[in-house]
This record gives sequence, structure tokens and C-alpha cells, in this order.
Amino acid sequence: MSVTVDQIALNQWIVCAWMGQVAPGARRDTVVLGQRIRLTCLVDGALACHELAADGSAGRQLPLIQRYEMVFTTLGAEPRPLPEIAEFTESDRKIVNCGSVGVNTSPYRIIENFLDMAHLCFVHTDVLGSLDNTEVYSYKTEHRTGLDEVWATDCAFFQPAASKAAAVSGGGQLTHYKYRVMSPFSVMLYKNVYDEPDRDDVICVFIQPLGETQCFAYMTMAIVDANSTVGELIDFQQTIFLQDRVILENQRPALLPLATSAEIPTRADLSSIAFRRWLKATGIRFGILRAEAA
Amino acid sequence: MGLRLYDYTLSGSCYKVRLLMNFLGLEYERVPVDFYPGREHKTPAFLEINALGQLPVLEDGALRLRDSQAILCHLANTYDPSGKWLPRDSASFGPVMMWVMFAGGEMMAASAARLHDALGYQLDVERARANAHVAFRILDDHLTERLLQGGRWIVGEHPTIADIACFPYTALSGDGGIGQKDYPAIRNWLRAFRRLPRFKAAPGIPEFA
Amino acid sequence: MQITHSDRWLAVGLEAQFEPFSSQPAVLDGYGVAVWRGPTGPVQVWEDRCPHRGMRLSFGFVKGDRLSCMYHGWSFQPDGHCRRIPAHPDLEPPKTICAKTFAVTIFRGIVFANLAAAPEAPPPVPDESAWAPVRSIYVNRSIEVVRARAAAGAGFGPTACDLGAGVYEVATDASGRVTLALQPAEPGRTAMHVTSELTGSAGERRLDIARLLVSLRRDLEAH
Repeated sequence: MSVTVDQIALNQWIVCAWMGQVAPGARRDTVVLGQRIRLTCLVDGALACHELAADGSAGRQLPLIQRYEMVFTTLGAEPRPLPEIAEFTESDRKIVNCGSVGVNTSPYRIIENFLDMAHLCFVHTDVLGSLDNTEVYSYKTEHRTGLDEVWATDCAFFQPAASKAAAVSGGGQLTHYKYRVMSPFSVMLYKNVYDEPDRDDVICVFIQPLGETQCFAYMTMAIVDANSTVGELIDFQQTIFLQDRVILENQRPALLPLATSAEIPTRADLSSIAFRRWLKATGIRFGILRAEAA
Repeated sequence: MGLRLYDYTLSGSCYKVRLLMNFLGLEYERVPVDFYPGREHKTPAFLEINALGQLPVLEDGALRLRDSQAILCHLANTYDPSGKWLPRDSASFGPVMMWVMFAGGEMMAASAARLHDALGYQLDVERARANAHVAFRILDDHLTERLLQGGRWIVGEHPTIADIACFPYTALSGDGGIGQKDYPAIRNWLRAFRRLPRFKAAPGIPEFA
Repeated sequence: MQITHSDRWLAVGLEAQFEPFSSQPAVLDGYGVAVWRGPTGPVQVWEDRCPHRGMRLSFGFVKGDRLSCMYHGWSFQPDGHCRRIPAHPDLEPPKTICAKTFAVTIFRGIVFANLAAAPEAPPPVPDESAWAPVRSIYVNRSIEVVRARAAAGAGFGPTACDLGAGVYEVATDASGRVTLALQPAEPGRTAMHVTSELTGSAGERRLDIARLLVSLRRDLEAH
């Protein structure tokens, strides 16, 4: 695999491990945008990251940021700043690292699936959606130019078991969502807490693209739930994601087509339309179907 | 009754046991184990329960069993008054055990490919996929012959624990990059299995609406 | 993403294997199709891709005579038009939303499809006999290698008759003929879909024929 030359892709903070994944004295070799890298954990717990050459020798050192239970690095000189997510600092929340799941598709297919509500009753039947309530009501999207992020707001969807807490209590609810695309390789949602309508749980996906159609999707969450264990919250989220993974690995093509004639959206796909328009404007070519990359 | 299952939702082996529990209508206490990312199954506390550090583990009163194949045998032997899930007649018993062991043996290459692709396990995935295809071909050839003999299950006229044991990793083969376009008999058998009364889904294997 | 397909009939599989209420994948000369059927009625061969977000329709579910995509439940009627978009239950989907469909014919119990936009090649013509399904078998060898063996009788008889469209007919030693329909799947991978003429003790013979095919595959792949 060769390293990408796409400057937009290179100038991002990209997740390459979760915090604690590399134990003291151990190391982890992985690939970011086609570049082999090595994460080394010293015995005192400090982490270091280097590019790896084809012959296995260590190349230049790469910077690291540890935040939101994740370890980020960048191959670029001027990376876009990491997003601010205030919920991770609230002391009464469970901060949950769900690990990473490998998915053979482009990072944008993963992001669009995360933004999408119309699939909840089909792919996550009786949990995040029910076959009796398939309608996706109108919602809004906007490009917040200050942060240069795409947001979808006023999203609402009927859910039989919206979260672990809701599943335990047995109540269906109209869940309110906000979605936020923070970079070409990261997305998050805000969903109202089951019995505290003024607060939102946050679920984030940070994507490590190894290549254009090979990614690790890391999920990290800040959840208001005094009763469920962290293990139960992970279980719930992993179940949802493994259901999505079957879809993600079977979309054709894997590279995202940006030409409007290639795939047919409806009103429910407003967030995906906004996301594709935004991606096109960045000029990114990594992970985009070739003929329409221009 | 006191059945307790140490379980992980995404584990195909655990799913084998959950399937039979459901088919038999058995109540049990489920103890979730944080297999990933927590690696709880390799902690000293869990190694006390199963020295091999593997899931599932079943506790039935004083009895403690590891290995999903052994657990299927125990549950069918003890809790199935119909005797259908583990037939004792000499024409069926040996073949059922043969395929149950195949499920815990050669078929596990499909599990390895899935662990590599989905959970980042480091292993020789090309070899795992090649071995999985060898196993799937053997199962497809067998099911093809069964069809020509007028049967749709692995052994006999109704499903047995041989079908349950072989089902999860076959149904989840796509998770490990192993397609089923070459296995028409397997595809039809998977569909028939999912149509069984009291069949329950697992992530990656949908129920019929 | 426009591909021009040649105007020819390609074997896809045994009709008996495409059960009612199912959608299944096949690869015809490198091109993925979804093969589905409703409760009664004919086998359908469509492009394996939903026009919405590209999800493979071979993962879809069949209810009544409609194929629904697994992703968002868009449901398509037999002529390919989308009839319902669950996210907008009151919307009549525009006629432009369509799955890509292909011409299908059944010959001696074997499903054939023509991927050309306006097929003109004549489909294989059925005869008066009744044919029973034996099996499909997938060989990791090129179509040229498999064809050479089929043309030489494939071990069922001394020679074969080339009927066109990849079909070879072999008169076996016992009464009755065997039909072998070759399908190029991908480079280095070929399928043979086999049916036998329903005469006399057809059931027993089918098992023997199936076993011979397994030996044939082993032999082809060993060399």
C-alpha cells in the first residue's frame, strides 16, 4: 500500500489506538493513510510514535494527542484541530471506550451510515427502530462555517429501546438526535438521555483509514447511566455496530461516489447530501470514487 | 434449575449455546464477559473459571463445562425430552458427533478470519480464509448430497445439534471476508435454519421479519 | 458506472436452488447479480446494487412479490420499479427509481440470464424432456480448462454435444442425458450447473452424477 499524497487527508488528527491499548514495554504497528507507523509505550507509560520504513527501520517521529479515550497522530504539518466535546469532562458520566472494529470500506460510508436514520428500523429492528414506525421526519442540516463542521438538528425517531437504560426499563420513546461531522474521518451524535430530556448522551466514531477502503472504526462515548455497567454499554454499542458492518462491507462501490447521478437520495438523506457537498468542497480525493473526484 | 452462562454477544461459540437454550425454552442467568476490548476472559479471575481462558462456560448446578460443543451435548442430553436435538440411534449419533466436532475443528478457521477482520487479531488471515473455504466446500457438498436424498438438515429429517454447531460461523462467514457465492446448498440451509421456530438473531445475522 | 455487457446467455444456477422468498448472489463473468424470486413466478436476475446507496440486493428480503433492500427497506416490484420507500411511507416513488433488471430464461432446469441492454441472441431452446436438478459445482479453474473437459464428455460419456451458450449435453451409458451448463464466474473460477434427464431411476443416478462431479472437480484442480 502506498502512502496517500492527499493533503486534506494528511492534515487531520487520526486515531491510531485507544488509550491503554499499548501496554508499558509493548508496541503496536499499524497503518495510517498507507503509512506504516509504530506506537511504542515506554515502561513509565509514555507513548511515542514513529513512521516505519519498508525495511522496518524507524523514521521521523510523529506527534500524539490523547483525548476522549483515544490516541491521535497526524502525518501532516498543519492538522485541523481536534473537536471540543464538553460532555467528556462531565464527572457523572460513564466514559466508555468500545474498542475498534475493522471495516473494509471507505471512511465516508461509515460516516454516512452513522448519520442515517432511515436504516434504524431495518438494520437495528426492535432496538433503535421498529417496522411499525419507519417514517423519517423532516430535519435540518447546516454547515457551521466557524468550525467548518456539518450538523444535522431537529432529528427525531421512534425507538423501542434507544439505549441500554431504555432497554432495561422497557419503554419506547421518541428519541431526539443531533449529528455532527467534525472532520472527514470523524462523526458523533447527541441523543437525549432516557430519563433526563435536558441532557444528551454522546457517541463518537473516530476512523483510522489504513487505506482508501480499509478502516478501523473506534467508538467512544460519554453516557449518563447510573445503573448499567461499562461492559453492558459496550455490549449494546458493539451489537449495533456489528449489525451495521454487514451493510458497510456490502455497499458497491466502497469508494464514495460524489456525482449526483450515481446514487438517489431522498429527503431523509439530507445529512448525507450535506456531507457529500461539504466533502466535495474540501477537495479531498482520498476514498472518493475516481471519475468524480474532480 | 440454576443454569448460568458466561457469555459474550459477538461470540459465535456463545451464540451456539444461546440458540439451543432458546430452542429448548431454557431459562438461564447470563453473565456478560467483556471479551473485547477488555480481554476479561484472560484475567486471573476468569482463568479460575476456565483455565483455557475461553468462552462460553456453562454452570449447571455443581457441573461446570467449557467448549460450546460439549455444552451443546450436555444441554441436549439433559434437557431435551424429545431426544431430537441429539438422536441416540446408531445411524444418527455418530454422524451428529462427527459434524459437531467438525464445527469445533475445521470450521473455526472462519472464526479466526472474522476475529482478524473485525477485531484486529493478528494472524495469517489468508490461510484462515483458505482453510475456511475447504471446510465450507465439505459442508456444501454434504448438504448437496442430503438434498438429493430428500433431506435438508445435516443429519436426518430434523435439525440436530450438528446444525446448531455449524450455523453461527457459517452465517457470519462474511464478517471474515468469506463469501458464499460458491455454496448454494449452504445458503439454502442457512435460510431454513433462520426460519426455525424460536430462532433468535445475533449481530450480523438478521431474523426474518 | 456504465458497463457494456456482451449479448449472450450465461448460466446462473439451478432453478430448483433459487427457492421462493429468497435473494441470492451470483457472479457472471465478474459482474455481481442478485437472483431472487417471490412466492410463485419466475426467477429474477438483477444488478446486485440498490440504486439508493449501493447496498447489495442479494442481501435483501422478499415479501410477496417484492424484493426489499436490507439497508433502508426500499421495496421493488418484479419489473424493477421501486414501489415503496419506508422513510416516506406516503410518497409514490418516482418512476426513475429503478433496479437494473436483466432478461432471464430457463433451459432444462437451469437459469440463464443475458446482461445486454437489448438482448438479441437467441436463448437456448427447451426440448420435450423433463430434467431433474443434480447440483451446481464451482471449480477453481478457468472456463477454457473446464470447457475442454466438458466437451470431452466430462467422464459421463465418450463425447459431448455443444448446444451453445456454454451448454454441453452428454449421453450417458445408461439411458438418459446429462446437461452441463458452464458459467464463467471470475477469472480462474468456473461453475457447472448440471441437470439429468428424468428417466427410470433418476433419483439414484443423480447422486452418482453428483459424486462424479466432485471427483471431476478434484481432478481439474489437482492439475
